[in-house]
Amino acid sequence: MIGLARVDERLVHGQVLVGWVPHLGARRVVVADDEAAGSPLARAAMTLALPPGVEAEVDPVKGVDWEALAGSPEAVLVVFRDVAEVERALAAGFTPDRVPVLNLGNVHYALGRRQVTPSVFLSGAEIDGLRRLAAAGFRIEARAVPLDAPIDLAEIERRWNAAG
Amino acid sequence: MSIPPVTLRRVFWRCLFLQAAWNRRGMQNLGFAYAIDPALRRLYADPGKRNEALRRHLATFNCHPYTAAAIVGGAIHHEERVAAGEEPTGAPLAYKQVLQGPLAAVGDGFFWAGLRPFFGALAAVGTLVLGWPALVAALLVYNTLHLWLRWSLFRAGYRTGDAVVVRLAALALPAWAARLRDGGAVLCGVAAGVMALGAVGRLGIGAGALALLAATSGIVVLGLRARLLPTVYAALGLGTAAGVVAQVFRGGR
Repeated sequence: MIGLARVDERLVHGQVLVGWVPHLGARRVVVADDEAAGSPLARAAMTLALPPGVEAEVDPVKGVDWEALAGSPEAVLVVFRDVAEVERALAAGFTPDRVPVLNLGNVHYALGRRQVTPSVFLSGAEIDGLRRLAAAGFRIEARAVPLDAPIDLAEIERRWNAAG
Repeated sequence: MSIPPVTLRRVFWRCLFLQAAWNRRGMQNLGFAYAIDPALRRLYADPGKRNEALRRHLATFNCHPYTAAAIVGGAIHHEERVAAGEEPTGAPLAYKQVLQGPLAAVGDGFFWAGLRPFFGALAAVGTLVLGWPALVAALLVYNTLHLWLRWSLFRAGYRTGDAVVVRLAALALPAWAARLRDGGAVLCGVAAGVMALGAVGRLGIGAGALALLAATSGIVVLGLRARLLPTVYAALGLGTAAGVVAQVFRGGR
């Protein structure tokens, strides 16, 4: 099963490996990202920090076998770079019934993005994307680490509008 | 051209202030640009090019402050090639963006969750048994070790660029982190034992038993994967209760 799907521009890092992997009891991390999959440096780097007993793989978004991940006996943690990639994955079989929560972890500041949590900045297009994903059936939360209180999409939208 | 050793040492010194201007939008970007600036001044004689180079290092950057030294070194490695016209100007930025997350994870796991707690527990046990000089010694050893590792990572990044990943993989830091965590937990147990024995000696068997109960409960709660804060509250509560009951016992005698 997919224990959690996370949007994180930093992909595999401390919050993921020290926070979420033990929290979920996950043994496997799947990075669904075309750019990382195409970079030997990124592929090598993703495996650097893995604690003993945890595996990671880096695949292009369209190259992930979502059905197999959803059917795996152990919890898998899936990481995407941004909201647009999640929408691409949805088209490729990453459906809401296969994942309990879509988590927003780290989306860095960029021109046009507004801050909704200390670590998440979103553009108008990304808010629209999240609305479409919610309409498709995903439960969406913004939460950096398991100890933080989750913030739901309604609150994300409220903060986004207030930040404008 | 290659960077003179004195400039490399200056950059390394500035790496120690990586988080001094931490901000929400760029995180460690100002610290990174400040650190790498002496090397950029060496590489780009033309002020326009130097400004352009400095500007690209103002992009959002965030990593573990220790392992980031490898990325600063590697960014200089790539800037040398950019200055020589061998690589596109985007190469140093791409290098930083790819490595910042994974190296942050290595640093969080090894330094924050492994080495530092281990030396903290070692200092606690040492101080209980030997007194305050043990605390000073533990701090000295920890800081020597982490500064030496940071300098080694910085030099490896500068010399090997992308291959620093291979060097890091060979160090097997996540496996060491797991050993250090286990070792730290054992030391915490030893500290609890030493404190319990001390309590028995000073306050009687009841206080010792309560101190042990508090320590055991803490370990059990941790073992049940409790969230961190309630565990801390539970440990604090039990420890305080042990202290209060011990006072009552002593007062009653």
